[in-house]
Amino acid sequence: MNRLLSFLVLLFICTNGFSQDIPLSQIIIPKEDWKKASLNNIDGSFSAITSDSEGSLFLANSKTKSIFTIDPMNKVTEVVTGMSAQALAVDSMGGIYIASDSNIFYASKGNAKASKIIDGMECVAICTLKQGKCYGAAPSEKAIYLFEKTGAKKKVSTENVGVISLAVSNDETTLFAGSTDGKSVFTFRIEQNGELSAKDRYVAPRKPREGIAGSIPGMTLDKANRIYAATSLGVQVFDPTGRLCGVLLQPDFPKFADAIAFAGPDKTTLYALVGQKLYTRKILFPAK
Amino acid sequence: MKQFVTIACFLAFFYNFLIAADDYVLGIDSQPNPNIPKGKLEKSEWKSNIFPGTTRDMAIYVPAQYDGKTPAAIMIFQDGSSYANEKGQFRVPVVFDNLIHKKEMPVTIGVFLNPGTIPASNPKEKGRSNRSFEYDTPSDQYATFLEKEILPEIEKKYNVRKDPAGRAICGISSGGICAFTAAWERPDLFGKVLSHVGSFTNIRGGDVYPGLIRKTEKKPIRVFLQDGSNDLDNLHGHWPLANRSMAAALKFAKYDFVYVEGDGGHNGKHGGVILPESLRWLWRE
Repeated sequence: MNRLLSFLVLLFICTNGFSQDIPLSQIIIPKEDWKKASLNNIDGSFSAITSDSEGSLFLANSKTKSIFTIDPMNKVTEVVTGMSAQALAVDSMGGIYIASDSNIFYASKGNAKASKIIDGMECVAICTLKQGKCYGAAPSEKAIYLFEKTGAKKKVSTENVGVISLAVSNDETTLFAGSTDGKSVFTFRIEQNGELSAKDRYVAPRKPREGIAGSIPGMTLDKANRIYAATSLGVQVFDPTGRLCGVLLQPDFPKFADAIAFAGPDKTTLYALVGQKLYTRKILFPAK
Repeated sequence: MKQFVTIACFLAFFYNFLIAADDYVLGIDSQPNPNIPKGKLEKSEWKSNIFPGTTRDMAIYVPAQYDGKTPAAIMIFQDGSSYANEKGQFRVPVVFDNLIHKKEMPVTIGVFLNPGTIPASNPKEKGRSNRSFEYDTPSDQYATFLEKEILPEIEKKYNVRKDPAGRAICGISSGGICAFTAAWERPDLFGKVLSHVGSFTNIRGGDVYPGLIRKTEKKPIRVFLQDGSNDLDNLHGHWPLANRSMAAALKFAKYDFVYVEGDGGHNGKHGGVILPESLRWLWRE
């Protein structure tokens, strides 16, 4: 009997939790809304967020020019000093890539001083691959770069429309790139060497309201590869085949999120950076 | 308590299967007849440029009556392998053999296309399905794929009709709206549409069609729609209502159309059973 019950529950989760036709009611928690993040009285103006695979949140504080983490136990640690950032990403070794003042910096784990690795590359979004390579979105050049901490860099895509946010699928087969005009999330096949191919307008988000500039400034994925795209309408959630599941309202209407990331003990807390303030919301599904 | 939860889980999971009667039985025209000529099915793979990086399985049915002298009609099936399966719900090659032999439909080349997949560069990982993007998007991209890649390939090998009345397109679920979209966008290419449990819902904005049909000058398309009263009702929409709304719009705009609604769910049982009748209606003079 227990086995049958377990099987049925598992079947239900497999067919509902990770199937594609997921309504918002299976993503959001009833009566759970956005909340202003409580950050242990950290005084800050935040300019970038990201998270690591352990569920730690990384924040760039432009007021104190530092980057700090909040681990899943809510312990705050300053990890890089003397730096503000437009974009952050953490690699599998715990090192931090930092886009700041048109340069890319890297701080290895435990090293509070970041070193410049690339000169003159203005990135607004960075994401990392397990093999150590990174993608950087450079909307002013309408390009996506592939780079490494050795400083090697290569333009791997040039678009008609710039991209402003990036996310890599959990199996690292697909790069998702949010457009500056808010009309598309492009997908690319990630080749073994990190190069990109098979570009298409895979996801078509809901259009912004008349008179509001569209953009997809932030993007992240959950464990089922659902895409959470920060847009002017709110956080639009798409299933892995690019179909809209629903829209989470803006954390601080009418302002919208510039960056989003999953973090927390079970990685079910969605963090959203709105202006320079941080908001959180619990979600039913965790990030990987 | 555990027993109750178990039964509740069971009922929740099998709800759709339990509420629909769905007791359709395939007729004689869906059964193989050893006494009539049998067409051939050739399988291949197609790599697309219109959908960059995708590969897909493709099969071409050539009826025994095809002589290469008289241009054959052509019918393109989305999710092709399920339509081409001779033991499946539709059994198109069997139905084609029977109806062509009885001269109840023209000599027709069947093209069975599966949706594209973008293979992962790492062979240990799964490829990414391009199905929803290709089928659910109300744009001309899929019709362009057929026009620029598939039709020329068929025309290279076979003598087929090039008039839209000689070309039909068919699909199930998202493949159903895909078939309609292809003809809607390119009535110069396709004049006949057969949709089974078509997803005329808001998966990617396809719920706009009833409104578009009502306010657009009638296009030269013949449409057969099938759905079931126990079809899906989910975040994307309500399938029976969406199909009824399509039928009402086609009626309003005076299209040559038929809408048949059974009591089934989101599957091809009813559509498969009425396939011979659907094809007779679609291909009538």
